Amino acid sequence: MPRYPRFVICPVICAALVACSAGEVMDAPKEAPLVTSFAAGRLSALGRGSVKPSGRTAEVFVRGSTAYTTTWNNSGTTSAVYIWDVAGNTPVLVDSIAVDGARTLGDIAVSDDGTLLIVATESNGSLAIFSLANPRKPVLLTQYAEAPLRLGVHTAEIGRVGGTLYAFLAIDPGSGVGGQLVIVDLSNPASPRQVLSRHIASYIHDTFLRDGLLYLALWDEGMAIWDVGGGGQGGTVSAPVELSRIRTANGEVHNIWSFSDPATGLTKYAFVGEEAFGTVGVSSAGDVHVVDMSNPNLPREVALYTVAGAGTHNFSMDEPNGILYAAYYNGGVRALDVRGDLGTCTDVQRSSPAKGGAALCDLSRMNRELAVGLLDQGIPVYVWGIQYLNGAVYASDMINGIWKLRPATRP
Amino acid sequence: MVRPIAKFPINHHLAQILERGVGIAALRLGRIIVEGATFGGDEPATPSSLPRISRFGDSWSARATVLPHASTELQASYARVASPEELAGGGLDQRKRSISARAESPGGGRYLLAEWARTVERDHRRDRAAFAYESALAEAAVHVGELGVSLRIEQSERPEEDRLLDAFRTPRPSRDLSINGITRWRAATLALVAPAVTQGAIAGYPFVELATLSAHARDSRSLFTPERLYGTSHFWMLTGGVRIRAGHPHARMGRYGVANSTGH
Repeated sequence: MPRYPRFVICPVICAALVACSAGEVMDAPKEAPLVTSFAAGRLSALGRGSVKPSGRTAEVFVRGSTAYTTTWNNSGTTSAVYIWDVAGNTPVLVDSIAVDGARTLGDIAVSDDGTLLIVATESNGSLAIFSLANPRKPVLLTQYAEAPLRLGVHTAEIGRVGGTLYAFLAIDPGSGVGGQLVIVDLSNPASPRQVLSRHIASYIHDTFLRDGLLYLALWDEGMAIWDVGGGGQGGTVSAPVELSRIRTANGEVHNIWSFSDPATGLTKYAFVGEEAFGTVGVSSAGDVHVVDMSNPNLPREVALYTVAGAGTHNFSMDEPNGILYAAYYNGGVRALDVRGDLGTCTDVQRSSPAKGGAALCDLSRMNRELAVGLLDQGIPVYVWGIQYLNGAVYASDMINGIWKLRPATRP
Repeated sequence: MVRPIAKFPINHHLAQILERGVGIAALRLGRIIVEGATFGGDEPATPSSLPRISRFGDSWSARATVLPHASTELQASYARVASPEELAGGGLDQRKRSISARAESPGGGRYLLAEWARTVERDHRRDRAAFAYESALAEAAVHVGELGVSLRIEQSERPEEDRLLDAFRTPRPSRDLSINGITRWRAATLALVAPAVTQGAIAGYPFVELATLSAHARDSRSLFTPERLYGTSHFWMLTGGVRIRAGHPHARMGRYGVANSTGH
C-alpha cells in the first residue's frame, strides 16, 4: 500500500486557503454599508414593548389605544398574536391569542368599523377572523381555509366596496400554480364567502384598495390597477376590469400605497415598495418607487427613493400632512415628504435605478427625506411594519417587538 | 469505491450535483482529464420525480483533473446551475466551485479526500450575487485488521428558509428572495464497519457511526438560531445499520469512461 505523500496534503490545504480568500471577491454578494449618518431629522422613539423570546415580530395594526402584532417563523405550529395597550408612550403587553395550525402569521388588519380583526396565516394558509366586541379580548369566529387559501395567505387587506366589507388575499404560489388573488365577502364574518379566485401572476404579494380601485403588487410583473367598482369601467369585486399595469424599475413589486392628498382631493401618486433579497435580521435591499397616477389608465414611474445598505418593506401615511412612512428593515423607519410635485426635478436631483434604466427624480436628492427613526437606539433593528395613527408612529421590529415613535413634522 | 460513511455529508448540496439526465464529454491526455457536462438544473422534489425535459441544457459544468500519482487525483470544477430550487425556472441560479484531492490505495484499503466548495446564489435577471455558502471537508478511511475505520470532519454553511408545518420542509416555490439566516454546521463523524456477513451473492456490512455536530448562525444578527428550532446547538448522533451489496462492488459515482481516474 502506498503512503499518502505530503505533496497531496500540502497543496490541498494551500489551495483551499487561496480559494477561500479568492472566493470572497469572486461573485461575493455585495452588502452595501448601511447609511447611518444623515442630514434628515430623527423620529424620536417614545417607547418599546418587547416579547420573549425576542426576534419574531411581524406585522402591526393599531386601532385606538390597542395594537396587535403577529409573529413569524415560530418553532411550533401554534402562533401568537400579541395585544398591546399603546395609550402611553411605552406599549404594554396586555394579552395574546393563539392561532392554531400556522407557523407564520403575516398580515393583520382591523375593519374600518372596528368590529373584526383578520390575520393571514402561512404554513398552513388560512384567514383567521376574530370578533373585536372587546378589542382587548378578540374571539375567534372562524379560521377560513377553503381552497386555495391552504397554499398560504401572504397578505390580507380589508376594505369596503359599495358598503360591503371584503378581504383581499394574496395567495402564495404552489407547485405548478402561480399566485392567486382571492376576494372574500365578510358580510357574515363567521361564514366568509369567496367572490373571486383568480390566477393573475407568478407571484402576488400585496394589495391596496382605495375608492373602488384595487392595486396589485405582482412582483416582477409590476403593479396592476383593477377597477372593482370605482374605476368607471364597470368592474366589480367578482368581475374586476384591469385598467393598467406598470413594471417599475427593478421589479420585485411587494407593496403599494395609493396617496389621496386631502389638500387637493386628488390621488396623484402610488408608492411602490420593491423587496429584493435579504437575510432576515441582517440585510435587506429594495427601493421606494413613485408612480404618477394622474391617469390611472396610463401610470408612469417618475421618482424613487433609495437607501444604501437597506431595503423597504411596508408603508403607512400621514395623509393630511403628506408624509410617507416606510418600514426599512435594518434601515429603521424613514419619513418622506411626498406632498407636491415629485416628478419634476433638476438633473442633479436624478439617479438611475439599480438595475439600470432612465434616471428618475431621487427623493433624497430632492431633500424629501424628513426623518429617520430607530437607528439611534444602539441596538440592531429590522422593521417589518409601520402605521401612522392619531399623531404617533408605530413600528413592528422583527428583533425587538413594537416601537412607538413621535411623528415627523414638516419643515 | 463508494463513500465510506453512510450518512450524507452536510455539504451534499454544495459540493455535489445530482446526476439526472446529464450529457458528458471527457478528454484524457496522459495525467490530465478535462470534462464538460450539460444537464437540467432542476433538483428532484421527491425521490420519484423525473428531470424536466424542458430544463435539459440550461446548466453546465466543467472539471479538470490532474493525476500526479496512480492513486491520487487533484481536481477543480465549476458549474452554473440554473434555478435548482424552483423547478419551473426563474429562481436564483447557483455558481459552484470546488477543489479537492483524493487518494485511494489499490484495493481501497486506504482512502483520503479533502475538498473545499463554494456556492454563490445569483439573481440572473439583475446579475447580482445574493447569497454565498462555503464548505470544507476531509475524510479518511483505513482498515485495521478486519475492521474498517473512517473519520470525517466538515464545516458547511446552509441557508435557513421558511418552514412548513413539517419543520423539515420548505415552501416551493419560495415566497420571496429572502432567507432567514445562514447556519454554519461543524461535524465530526467516526464510523466503524465490521467484516461482511455473506449469504450467497449477498454481502452485508454492519456499521455504526457516531457523529458530533454543532450549529451556529454565521452572522450573529440573524434572527434564525438553531437553538430555537432544535432546542440546542450541539448534537450527538448515533447511527447503526447494514450496507447490503449484491454482486460486484458499486462503481464510483461521477466519473465515467476516460474520466474514471482509477479505470486506466
